[in-house]
Amino acid sequence: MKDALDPENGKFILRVNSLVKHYPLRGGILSRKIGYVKAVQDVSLDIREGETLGLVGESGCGKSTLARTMILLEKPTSGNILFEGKDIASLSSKELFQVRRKIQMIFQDPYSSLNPRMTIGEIIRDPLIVHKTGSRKEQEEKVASLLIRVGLSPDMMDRYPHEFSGGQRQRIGIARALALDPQILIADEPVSSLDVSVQSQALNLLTELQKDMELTYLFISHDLSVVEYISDRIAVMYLGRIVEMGDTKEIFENPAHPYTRALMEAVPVPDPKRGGRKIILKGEPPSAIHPPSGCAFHPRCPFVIPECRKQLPLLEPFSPRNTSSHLVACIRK
Amino acid sequence: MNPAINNSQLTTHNPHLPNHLLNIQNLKVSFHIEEGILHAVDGISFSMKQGTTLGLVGESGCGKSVTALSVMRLIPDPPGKIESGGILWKDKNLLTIPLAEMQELRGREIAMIFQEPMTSLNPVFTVGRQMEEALHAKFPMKKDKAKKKIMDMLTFVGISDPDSRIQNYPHELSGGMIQRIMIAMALLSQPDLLIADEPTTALDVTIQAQILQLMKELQQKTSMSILLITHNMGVIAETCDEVVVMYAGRIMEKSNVHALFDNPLHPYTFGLLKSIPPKGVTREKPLFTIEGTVPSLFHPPKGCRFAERCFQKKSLDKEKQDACFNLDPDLRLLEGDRLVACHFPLEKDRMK
Ligand SMILES: Nc1ncnc2c1ncn2[C@@H]1O[C@H](COP(=O)(O)OP(=O)(O)OP(=O)(O)O)[C@@H](O)[C@H]1O
Ligand SMILES: [Mg+2]
Repeated sequence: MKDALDPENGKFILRVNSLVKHYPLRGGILSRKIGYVKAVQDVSLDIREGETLGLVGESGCGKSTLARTMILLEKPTSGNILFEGKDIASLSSKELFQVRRKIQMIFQDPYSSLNPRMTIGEIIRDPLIVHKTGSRKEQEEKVASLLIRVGLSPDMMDRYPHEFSGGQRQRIGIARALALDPQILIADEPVSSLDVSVQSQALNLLTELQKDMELTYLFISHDLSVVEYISDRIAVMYLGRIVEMGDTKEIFENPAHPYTRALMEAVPVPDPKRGGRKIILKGEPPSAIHPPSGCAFHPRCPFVIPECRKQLPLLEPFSPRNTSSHLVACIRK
Repeated sequence: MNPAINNSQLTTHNPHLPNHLLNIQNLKVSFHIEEGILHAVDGISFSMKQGTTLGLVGESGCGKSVTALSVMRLIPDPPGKIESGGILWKDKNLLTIPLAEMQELRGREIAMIFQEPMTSLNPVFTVGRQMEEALHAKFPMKKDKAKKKIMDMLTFVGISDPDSRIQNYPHELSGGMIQRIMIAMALLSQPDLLIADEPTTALDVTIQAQILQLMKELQQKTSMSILLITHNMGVIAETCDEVVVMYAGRIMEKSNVHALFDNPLHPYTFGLLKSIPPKGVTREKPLFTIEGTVPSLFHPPKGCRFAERCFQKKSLDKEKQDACFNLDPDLRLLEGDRLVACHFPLEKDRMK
């Protein structure tokens, strides 16, 4: 096993090697296996302690599956997952239970992710009960302090989710995720359903919490302006694979993959003076059941050459100058 | 801070403007539900010029969809009720014409794309059959002629292989494809006004860019007017000529798009624009926020509806603050063609 201290990259806290997740696809009257949805294909990446890694890509590209598989909410088809240097894919369920408390998740939809029949206090306390952490009194004190921590008031404890606005419910979800003092927070589209005015409050809160509690974030979003703001590094996913990865500033200044460029180009800019777009991507992402040959992006790529249809591009350093920090999977780079 | 407003700058807004296609006057819509009377749209007036795109923007629940549904006269009654006001379309008041005339007009002159496209198609019929029926209801014509019209329209909105697509059921198509079909359906009758309620919110950015581009092209070709509802300021900037900013059932500001982004007059508009993470800024710098939450629509506050959350009021003296909390600001004309409902509109250059 590799050392957790990688001199090149600083200390990583979570690392996945060649992770693959295929879902069997059933069909017909006997519901036989008729193929696979190749949701995650050969993904390797690491998350460094204290950083925010942004994961972007279009819906269905495998972002959420990657995150869920990384923390073993889904069983990987193959590959390994190192948490603090230990392969957690091979842990017993008891050992895994202990690891889980250190990695928590917050979800996109603040409406459906909270049980409507539980009070706010019960919702936040629940993980403490499941993990048998502290006495009842200690748990209640913890809940009160968490509510304050996320900008709510402890006297809201006895109220129910429907009494709160979307932004407040998202805070409740964050408080629940923090209950067990995790090291890593996986945030799957945490601000996507919020209005801009509430979204900025939530982003400020996540930033503050990260600083104060030394949290590491994996931040999944399809909103590039949010990801640019919040992330230290970015990974761009297309049809189950990482196509580009690197420091946020570098990726936004020198996007190397045609897909990354098209994605950036497609974001509507809140400035009416800005002229028209340069690249409008044609078509839609292809199916993950029958991914295209070679580079999966080739059917939509404006720069495609015959070679792209044959050869699967590897994720390699963009230029010899920066050997490790900026990676791209494109033979036309 | 803003000095007292020069009286000569103020004029009453005259809604009877020439070449205004749609003219909404003092529209009030409420919902009579168990919890009480919810004042969803509370006296709004605005008009729209022919051949332009008007954006309707604002926080979730501020009344954008209710406004659009009122124009279509599709507010569910009960519990909804159009309490008062007028919606002038060409020379008719859509709220008082006989229902049969309204049904006739719907789809033909004014078409709407709904916020949830999936729910506006019937899951048990093929897309082709639904398009044929929609077309037939408005323009009875021979089957093969109708089919050709549908095929042409599907090709026009960028659907490749329309022959096989029309045999699909809605669930067999992607969100982007469904949205194109909804647009194609709305356009079959060449309406004068297309109301698009969040047409791209559920779509990926690359598909969103395609759909917005398509709508722009259509407008250039047909001089159709578009009422575009969105909460995305980027979408507004890229597609609209004019913008109406709504908050808690009221209009806060109406302006041409350039002036709105350069120099928002209402603190709420300013807040909306400032809350967007600016390009190149990292999390070292906290984002601008509008503190607090929207007021209750059951008992809207008596003064300015935004006063509670307004950042500007802190820098106003007591007397002026009293005005914010107690006097309901009218929508008034400022800078020639802009409308704002604020006692103390922002000065120029605040965005810099
Ligand atoms: N059928 C209905 N019954 C009861 N209340 C309703 C109904 N339709 C709308 N409302 C209420 O009217 C208000 C305005 O709703 P509307 O749908 O116009 O908001 P919106 O601005 O379109 O928001 P969003 O951005 O979330 O689509 C809300 O408080 C909503 O709950
Ligand atoms: Mg709406």
